[in-house]
Amino acid sequence: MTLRAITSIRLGRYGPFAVAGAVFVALLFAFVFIKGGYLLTVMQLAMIYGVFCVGLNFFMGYTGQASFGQNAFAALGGYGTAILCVQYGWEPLLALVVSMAISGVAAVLVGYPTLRLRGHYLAMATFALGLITYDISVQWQSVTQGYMGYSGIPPLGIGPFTVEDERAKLVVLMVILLIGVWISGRLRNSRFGRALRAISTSELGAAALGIRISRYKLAAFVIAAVYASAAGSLFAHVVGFISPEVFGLQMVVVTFTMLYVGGVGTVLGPALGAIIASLLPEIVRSTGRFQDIAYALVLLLMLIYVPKGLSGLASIGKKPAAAPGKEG
Amino acid sequence: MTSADRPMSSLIEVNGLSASYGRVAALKPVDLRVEEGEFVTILGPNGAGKTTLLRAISRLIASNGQVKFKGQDVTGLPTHRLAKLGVIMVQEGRGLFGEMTVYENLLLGAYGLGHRSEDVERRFEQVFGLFPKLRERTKQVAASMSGGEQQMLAVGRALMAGPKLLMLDEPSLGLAPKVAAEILDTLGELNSKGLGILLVEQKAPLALKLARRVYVLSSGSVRAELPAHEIKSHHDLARYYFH
Repeated sequence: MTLRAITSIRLGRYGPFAVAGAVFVALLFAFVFIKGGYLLTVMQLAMIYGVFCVGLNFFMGYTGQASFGQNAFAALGGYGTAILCVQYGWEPLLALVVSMAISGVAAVLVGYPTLRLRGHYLAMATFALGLITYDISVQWQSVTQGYMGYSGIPPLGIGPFTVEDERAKLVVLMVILLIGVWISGRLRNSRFGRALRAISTSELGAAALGIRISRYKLAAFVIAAVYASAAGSLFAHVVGFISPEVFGLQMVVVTFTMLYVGGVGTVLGPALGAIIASLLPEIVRSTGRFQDIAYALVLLLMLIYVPKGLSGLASIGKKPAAAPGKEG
Repeated sequence: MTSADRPMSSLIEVNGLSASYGRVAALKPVDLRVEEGEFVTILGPNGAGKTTLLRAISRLIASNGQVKFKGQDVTGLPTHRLAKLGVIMVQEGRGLFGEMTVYENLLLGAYGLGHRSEDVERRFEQVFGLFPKLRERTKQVAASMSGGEQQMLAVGRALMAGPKLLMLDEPSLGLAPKVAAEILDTLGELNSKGLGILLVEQKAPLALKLARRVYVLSSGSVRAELPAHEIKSHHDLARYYFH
């Protein structure tokens, strides 16, 4: 088989934009890795937000439900891991896993009554969940240390091996994000994922086929919560400090932006959106005092011209699976 | 053997089923039955409560009244349990998952089979036997298919669930007459193999050709229940549904 033939098969499957996008992200990653400095921190945060968004995508993308309160579970993860490590001297990895489990249980308890709501009502209920969690993290000072937050949270590691080098942190975060994306992709195309996507398209249609709507919505909500918790814990271990502001309203707005910029409901979109939306402020920084306007303009243009998100570009140039049918 | 020749026992029996949207009573207490292997058609004008009746039977909406399936009281059973028993509905507008492929839509039809791949494969073969076009288009996204193909997919997906009673809400809606006739012929073929069918239709001549009995619904109530071949002798009904 000639190189040309191999290339055409690859392009046929993924499309030239997908290949170009993958090369671009790889080069971007390599550039940040070599250059180091502040960009490393930006990319580390992008990876953490990526984990959050991949989880959020289960609930908002695959299942088509609205949640403005996943930051609550990131806070649970962040504070859980901080308290367990700083107060009780737990191993970071164990603290992270236990925090994820606690968040999962909390999501079941909160989601069971909340997910009976639909549309705007569900959005408002989850929004309230985020606000309540924020207030608790501010007011319950004996546990959360209020606005002071927690510092001195140990870096990730297992036993004597700790990840303290900034480049190593980035690599670890990237591997975790890739595992998160891989799980997301596998689940999306499983029986479970198909049921979620069916609910997203038509709840009545899905129910008529025997899919238990409430159970699947709850499962997606719990998965999103577990991912959010992992992101919160990762933030705590990478930055070494957390406070209520970290998991505040801004997190909701930022992760929404990332999800829609990358492509809600797609496998790669949330991670891609997290990377692009994190780096964008650095790219437009050269516009000086107009940088906020420039940032907003770029986002607006993306939403207008790439409404399905950046990952939607991957289908450009891709061969259709079959010819469309005739009218009739 | 046609449905008319077979000895009958009740497949589904509905007693005093009613439903409302807010304060509006869309379905007043309705009695209805479909025998094993019977083909029953529900006729009625827009707003008669036909769709509401099918949705109430399959518990897609809240309802009052009693529903028995194969003699067993299934009143209040949730939709997924009814689907497992074999009560499957093809919704008006097909209810397909448009962004998914034909293959994925069909797989979702077999959702109740879990991971029993041999059973799923057998059902695929049955559906492809009835609708060979679907085999050619397994990778095609459902939304990009023609109306007729989408309806084939909707029926095929319902068959993947292994129904005992197949309820269809206006499957000929928006289809060219020839395509609609093909779809209804397939339903006739399925019925001849013993599948109970409850069909809501507005195109009466097509539907009545296959049906054994007819219910006429109007303003949420059953106005008439009669053998399909008798409808032409009722001048008021014949005038309404054949002209």
